[in-house]
Amino acid sequence: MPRHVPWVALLAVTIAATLCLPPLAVVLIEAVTAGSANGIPASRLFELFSGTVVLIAIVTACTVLLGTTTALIVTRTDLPGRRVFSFLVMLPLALPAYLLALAFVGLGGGAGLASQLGALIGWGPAPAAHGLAAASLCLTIASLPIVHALVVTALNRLDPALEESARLVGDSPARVFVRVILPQLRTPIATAACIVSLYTLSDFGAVSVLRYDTFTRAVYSQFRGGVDLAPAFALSGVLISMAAVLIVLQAILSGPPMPVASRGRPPLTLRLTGTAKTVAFSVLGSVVLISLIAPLGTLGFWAVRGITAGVQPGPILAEASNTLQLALLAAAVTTLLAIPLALSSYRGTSRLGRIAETLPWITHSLPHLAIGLGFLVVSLALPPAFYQSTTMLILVYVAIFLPVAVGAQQVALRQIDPRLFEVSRMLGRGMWSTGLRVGVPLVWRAAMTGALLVAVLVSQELPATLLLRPTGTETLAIRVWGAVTEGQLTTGSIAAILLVALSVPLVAGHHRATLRVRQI
Amino acid sequence: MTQQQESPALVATGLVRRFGDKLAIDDVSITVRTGTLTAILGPSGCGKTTVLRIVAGLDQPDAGVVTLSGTAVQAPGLHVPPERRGVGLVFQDNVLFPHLTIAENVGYGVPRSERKATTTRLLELVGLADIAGQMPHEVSGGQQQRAALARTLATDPRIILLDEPFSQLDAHLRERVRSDMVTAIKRTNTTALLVTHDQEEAFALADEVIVMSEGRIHQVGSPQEIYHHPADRFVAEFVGDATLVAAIPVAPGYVETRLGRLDISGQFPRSDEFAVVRPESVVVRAADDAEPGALPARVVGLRFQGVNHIVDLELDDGMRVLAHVAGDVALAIGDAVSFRVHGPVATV
Repeated sequence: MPRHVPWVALLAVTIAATLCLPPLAVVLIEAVTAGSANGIPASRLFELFSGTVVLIAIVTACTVLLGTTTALIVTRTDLPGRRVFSFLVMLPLALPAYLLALAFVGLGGGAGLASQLGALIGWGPAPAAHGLAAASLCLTIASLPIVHALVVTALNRLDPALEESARLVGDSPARVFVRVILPQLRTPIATAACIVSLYTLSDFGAVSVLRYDTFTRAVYSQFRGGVDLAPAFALSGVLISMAAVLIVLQAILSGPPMPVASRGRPPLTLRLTGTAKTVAFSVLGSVVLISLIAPLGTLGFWAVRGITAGVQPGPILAEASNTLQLALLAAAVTTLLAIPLALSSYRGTSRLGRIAETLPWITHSLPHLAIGLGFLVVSLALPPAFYQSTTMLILVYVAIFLPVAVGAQQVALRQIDPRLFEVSRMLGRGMWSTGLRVGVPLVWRAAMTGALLVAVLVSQELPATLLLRPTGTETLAIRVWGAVTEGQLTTGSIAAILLVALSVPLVAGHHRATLRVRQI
Repeated sequence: MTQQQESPALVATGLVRRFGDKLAIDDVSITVRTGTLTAILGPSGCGKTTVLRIVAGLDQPDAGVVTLSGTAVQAPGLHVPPERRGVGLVFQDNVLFPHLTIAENVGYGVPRSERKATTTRLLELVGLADIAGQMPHEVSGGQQQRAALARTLATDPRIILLDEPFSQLDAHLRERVRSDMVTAIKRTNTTALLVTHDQEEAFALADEVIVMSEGRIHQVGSPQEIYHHPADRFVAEFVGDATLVAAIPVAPGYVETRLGRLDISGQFPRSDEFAVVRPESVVVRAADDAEPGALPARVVGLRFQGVNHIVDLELDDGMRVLAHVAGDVALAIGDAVSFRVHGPVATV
């Protein structure tokens, strides 16, 4: 085998740079130039900043506390059904936050499902879902699985012998948690907090639906409001700076993965009895009730109500078909373009390979609204055919979701014994034939899983779609987002249920899915 | 005698390969005659696998020339890619394609028109016809290794390279797989170059042995030559058990040592600083039954091996000597004995 194939890395860098550099450059330059000449009063900036930070603080604190608790219950107690619970707690990861937001809108308020049910037993109307409280609850639910998954993974990797030794020298389970487990969980919890903060900062759909002002919502209303894009860019500049801090922090914290403890035995579990058992059961039960049963139940309720009331299904089905077509097209293009990127990192990472890997990761991690704005300006500079074209929209999806496809392929590539390629060469097959007969069959499944993931994520993507879709191309995500403003809970819920149905494959392949920041 | 005119299957000259500032192999030259099995024997890390990879075309040397049956495949400015060398390679643990059946693996390198016939023939040759349809993970380690060999033989290579192909197998399997595989190689008249750290394996299988250490070749010869006439101290100690004892030449064909005057007749001493005393030339008797000129010693170590004991003897000044004693002799640690070295010994 040749020592290195530089042209693969070159191709990878070319793809990554062509896709990701122009929008990144536009966003940065516009933010700097607009920042000096914007017309946004300082008081408004402060208002947005404090509003965003308060939301981030509440959501992060709640998810860390709750997520660590659920993780501990499912890994360190003997609670019956803990495996099922762990799966159920993870499920909202497959749902976009704005979908949960719509469900809460349909649940609360005078006409909401909760009020209607409450009236049956003589309760007053439930509060309407909007503002800080609703946004905090919604985003906490949406990002709880991130913390739960990261802490469960970390707990599973701890060496059980450490906890056993602590118990043997006389520590109670509570003291073992404080003295042995918690110190080792510091880094994974900090990483999770970072990811959740970034998720909350980047969220556009849920805060819009629940009418809570953050930077993302303000950027979009500035963009809608005027011909001059400068204020929108000035705000998006602040948004990007905050995101950059969190991304860097996350990159530093992630570091090398925790080593897996070599002992193949389960850790000591706490036997739960009486009150403790009831409490643990209630915690997990409430989480599942609020994050899964209530939202899906509400959406189902409104969808059924809409169908029985004779809603015309035509437009929604057209939107579903648009969504599916865009998702499949984007997944196919992303998966193809991901191949050289995955290959360039296969045998040791060169400098070129690292650039090819980092650029798409940045566009993936930054708020999609900002990236969408960048692409919008780029498309204005291109021939008119590009502006609001399907091509442009697909390119945005590729730039945003490329790392998902690359990651899936890399995992499979790393599992291939490089000597298999050598053997094939020794048996007289050239480089291309070897790739086709050995490489492709062994990576195929993982690449398809990655493509599926990309398709689901694209179908749920909201901000970039909103900014860049061709006129007249409506999607399910946009319908769900717009349902609140137009007061169309029923059609919105039908669209939401269809979106949930589209995300079922994601749940099926969820054990393969890498935990990355999903932004809506 | 047409073999004599034919160029050797493999000639490598002056191979040098550096990894960073470490010399992995330093001016290595080897020749493998057509139709023979040659072994490169050396401790792990001696550079023997690097030689193999260069011959295979999987690695490129910093200097040196490789010719296969008279055709240069590696020279300054020339590198024939592995798929066009007609060289086969079997790794130490089988590297079967996990997505193909055993039969599909064996047929991988065969042109479509001959695939079916060749696959059947080779599966039968290595005795795997009955598991042809199974996947690699469903069969045993020995079967996987035989399938890997069949896959390589199926392409009818000019030379087959074996990289420690038996070292991952369980001891009880190794013997069987080894003889099956060598039979298959011999029956197809294939030239083979085996790399191993196991001298017993090299001696059992090879027509010619190349002893390597730290990137250099120490000796090339038949197994008998290597064992009885080691070229230097490294070879003497690495190949088989031996006691090295300082020697002073006293008369033609004799040296004087701590173990008495030893016969070195029949040797071609390259140097005579040490006499190489193999355990089988040490004759041990009871202390009260000493031969003339025998030395007293005490038994300090005892390994029973069935036919023999391998006995560790200690002289009164603390020197240790290894000896073989028939397995039916009753011996215990601490026994006082006497011994004498018989027959000619080698010097290094």
